[in-house]
Amino acid sequence: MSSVVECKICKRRCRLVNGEHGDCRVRVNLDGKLFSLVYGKPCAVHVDPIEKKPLFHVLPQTNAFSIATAGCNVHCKFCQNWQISQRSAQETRNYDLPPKRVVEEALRSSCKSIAYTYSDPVIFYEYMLDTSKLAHEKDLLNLMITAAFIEEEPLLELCPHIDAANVDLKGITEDYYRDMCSAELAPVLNAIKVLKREGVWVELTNLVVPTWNDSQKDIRELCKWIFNETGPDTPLHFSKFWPQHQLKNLPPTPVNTLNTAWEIARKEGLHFVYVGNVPGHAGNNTYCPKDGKVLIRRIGYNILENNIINGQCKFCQTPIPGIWT
Amino acid sequence: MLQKKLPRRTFLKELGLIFAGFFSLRFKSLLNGFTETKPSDGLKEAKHYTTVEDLAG
Repeated sequence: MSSVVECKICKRRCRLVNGEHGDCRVRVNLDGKLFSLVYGKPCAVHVDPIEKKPLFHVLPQTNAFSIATAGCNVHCKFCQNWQISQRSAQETRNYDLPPKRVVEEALRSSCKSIAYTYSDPVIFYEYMLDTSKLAHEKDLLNLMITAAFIEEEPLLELCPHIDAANVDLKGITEDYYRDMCSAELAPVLNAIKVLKREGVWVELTNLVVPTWNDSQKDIRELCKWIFNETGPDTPLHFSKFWPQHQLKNLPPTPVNTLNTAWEIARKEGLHFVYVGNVPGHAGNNTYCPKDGKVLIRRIGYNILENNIINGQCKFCQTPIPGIWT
Repeated sequence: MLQKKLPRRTFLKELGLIFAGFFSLRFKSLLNGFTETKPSDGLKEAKHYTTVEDLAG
């Protein structure tokens, strides 16, 4: 007798017979039990500036100890990390780094946080969960960088241990999620709302892909959803697309398109809108929503000026949301 | 989904942005200090799954 198991981490609900791997490539049914093939086995380990995640309202100018395993439960045509995300653990070089060691290495590297990133930590859920608990014991923050294609039950168990998340809100239509990512939009929107409700600091990233999701209508609708469902203080990062993976035929996103997106988002009432991958753009900076002054001046991931004191605008004392210390 | 032709890009402007972008990146890969391992080593049972049915044979 052998059992079929159903994974309940994401909406795919993969049903696996003995020996079969899930869609994510890294969860497998062995004799009626589901196992993770990547627990404690990252294939990418880096020290990154926290601004690279991107997280602009969390411990500015500190480093995040960043880990990822092989696999992913979405399959974006534009993925810049496809060499690990669209691979099984048998196809990547993986290293022995159990949760306790992740925390030790993060402290040794003078990092203030651990980021679960690059591929998608939803698929190395157990590794992220166990590591995050140990991280908190040593006063390290936990950062989840994710497409958030995750069911509510596992997300609720995770939330108490996650301090901040950057969620890729890739588009605002089910068609886009299906055609570009082989995924679904509704679970992602729900996950964003759950994260906010559970007190996790959330920043959103939208990769603007020419001819796919760059219409003013789509961008306006995306911004309206963010404003209505999460509030005007949720930071939104518009990111420039670079030809990758299965979309090498497209050109990079024009800067004018990003400018337009930036203006639309601010007109829709969002207070903190950023333009990424364009060093020197005014959208690299944080502005006070009340007096418009520059709070944090950045070029790329570097901070040139910081006018946030005790979580407030230095000039008018307006509270600025985020995790500043 | 239909893909439309785009207007011509200014090559040097885009090249300049790519060049500036590289200078803003700070990466430090740490993999050289760790022991390589195989997926089959030390498997961990997953959370959030159920047994659906038992198959005979």
